[in-house]
Amino acid sequence: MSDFSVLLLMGGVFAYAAVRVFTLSMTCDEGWSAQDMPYPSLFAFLTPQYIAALNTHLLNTFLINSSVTIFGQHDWAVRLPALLGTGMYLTTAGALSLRFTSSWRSPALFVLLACNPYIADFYSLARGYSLGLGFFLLGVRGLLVSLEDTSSRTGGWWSLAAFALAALSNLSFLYPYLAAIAVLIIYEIVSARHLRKEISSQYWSRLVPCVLTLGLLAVLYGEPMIIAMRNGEHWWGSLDGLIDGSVASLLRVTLYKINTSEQVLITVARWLFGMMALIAVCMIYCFWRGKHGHKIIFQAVWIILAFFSIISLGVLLEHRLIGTPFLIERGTFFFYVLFVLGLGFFTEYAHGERFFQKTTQIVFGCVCVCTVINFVVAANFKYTATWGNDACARDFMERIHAENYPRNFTREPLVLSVEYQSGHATQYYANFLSMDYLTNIVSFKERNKANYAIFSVFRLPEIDDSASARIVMECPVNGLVLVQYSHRGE
Amino acid sequence: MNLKRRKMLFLAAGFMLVGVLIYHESTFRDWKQYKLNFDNAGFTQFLLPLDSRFRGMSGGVDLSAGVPFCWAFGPDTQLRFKTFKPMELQLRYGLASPFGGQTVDLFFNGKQIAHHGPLSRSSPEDSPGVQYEQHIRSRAGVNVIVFKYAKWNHGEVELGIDDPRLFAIAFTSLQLLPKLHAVGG
Repeated sequence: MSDFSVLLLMGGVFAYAAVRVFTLSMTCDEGWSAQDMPYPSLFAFLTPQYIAALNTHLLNTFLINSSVTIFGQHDWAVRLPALLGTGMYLTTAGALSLRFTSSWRSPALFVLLACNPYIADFYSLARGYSLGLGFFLLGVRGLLVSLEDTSSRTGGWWSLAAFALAALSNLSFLYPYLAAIAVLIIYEIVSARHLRKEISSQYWSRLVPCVLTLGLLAVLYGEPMIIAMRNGEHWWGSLDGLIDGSVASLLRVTLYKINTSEQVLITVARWLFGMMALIAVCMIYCFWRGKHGHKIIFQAVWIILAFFSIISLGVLLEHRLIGTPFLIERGTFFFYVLFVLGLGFFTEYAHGERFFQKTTQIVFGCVCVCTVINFVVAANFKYTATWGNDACARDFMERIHAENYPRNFTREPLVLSVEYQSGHATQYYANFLSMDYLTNIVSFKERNKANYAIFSVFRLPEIDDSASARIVMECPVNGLVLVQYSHRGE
Repeated sequence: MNLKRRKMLFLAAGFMLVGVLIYHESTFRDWKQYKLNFDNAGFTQFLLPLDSRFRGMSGGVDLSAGVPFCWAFGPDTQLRFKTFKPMELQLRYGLASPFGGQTVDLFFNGKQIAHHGPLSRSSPEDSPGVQYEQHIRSRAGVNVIVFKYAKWNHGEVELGIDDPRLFAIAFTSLQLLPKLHAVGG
């Protein structure tokens, strides 16, 4: 029954993501990455300077470029790698839920992993987060599954390859990769002491995946990171701290349409950290009392706690040493997955524990119901939380092109004025729709030079030459309007 | 499938992928953007839509006794452009063959629409300007025009000059224009 319900949920969420691949207009950061690609060359553009701009996530960019080379200029071709990553993430989430939890807790864990509406935005967007999440969860699964197979020579060390691919898909997953190395080393030390094993030759074979992946990442990201630091590219983030900044921002975007005060978010973020600490205390208590219950689940909870602690310490250390801002919003997806896995696995473990059983199941059930309600409230096919401004970029640009496409033959130039945030998405559609007659995209301030302008409806009173301006289209989602100036370019 | 076989399979798939990528990278013929790569300043004989991409053609206009021409290379010249909706268009061009017996087949969106030749040897000044005109109707989206040649330098023939380029024909004009209807006509 739980197998069937997880499969059904998996299909539903994947279908939602697939439909949005087609219906969502291209967003700012996607357009920024995709418009620079000189396909059909596959490698030529991947220079250290290009990667150092940090809008580029190597594997993601390479796959987008390959997809567009093969399938041509379509929004869906740009987003195809993201959808593949989503398939990988959902499949792994389903496999993890079914393997490590039972009864109603399997679909509940899957719902928590899959139905965060903010993460679901990135299932369809070509930003590398779904690929990163897919590889990250694949690595976590590899690590946890290796606990069961004690005869393997390499243990869970090859799961590092998945963590490294996650870091190549999106740089924010570099933290889990480094944490995975630390977790594996700690696990080796603990299990060696526990089993009274001597360090033998098989430990050297376990170093191979570590050395290979570290070498690969160092070669690919070494020089770009130095250039990025020199150019001050590490500016995106929060200075409010790990809990008040990173986790609170993750909560804010997770709630999507539900507006909540910053103080409430900070309080809940602290509760979440408190929850992980409480789980650790309970696990120490069980360990001390010799209550290991289901051994694999017991170890799985410890692995997730270790991951969580090491990443948290790593982020704090990095901020202290080199002043990097704390990651926010989409940069902290791995924290969300770790919170959910920590709670889910502990609920499964506590199922056999008299002390915690009821409490954990009630908490887990309530969180699951809230997640479903939040997802249903937020679900849409037209816009994303981060780039709502771009919701109608495709409609606007197609409208301009439909009215002007013969200008490619007649060579009459056209100028468009946009507000800053709309620049990349409109430039992307200018390229992809072959609007070569569009000679310039200027700022809102320079709208007097433009034939068309895209700006907020609230700025309409500022338009001094309203007699010649005609509203061509309105975007109901974000309140932007497309205005045509009839007296120009005639 | 045991672990060793699975590893071998992944390894083989990895090598194949790398092979395909290297093959693609070394053999692809890049589309050049007309707007950025075609230097036709002042020469109205060469007018293509601004969004055109081309390959198998030099990106600039040369002069032969004051007559502008543009080299096309074998085995074919391809032009690609988009129209948002179907449009009535005129394709106008002039050809000068650097060797006798050349034939040129013209395809539009995969369909042959003209055949020229065998052409006798001529220089651009012998046949300046527009010689041929085809009426075509574009489709919404990408449209492709292909000129296919029977002979080219270092192919069927040797021009006897120390130049590695695959000269096939010289365009003395190449225009793609919207078909204009007279008012009241």
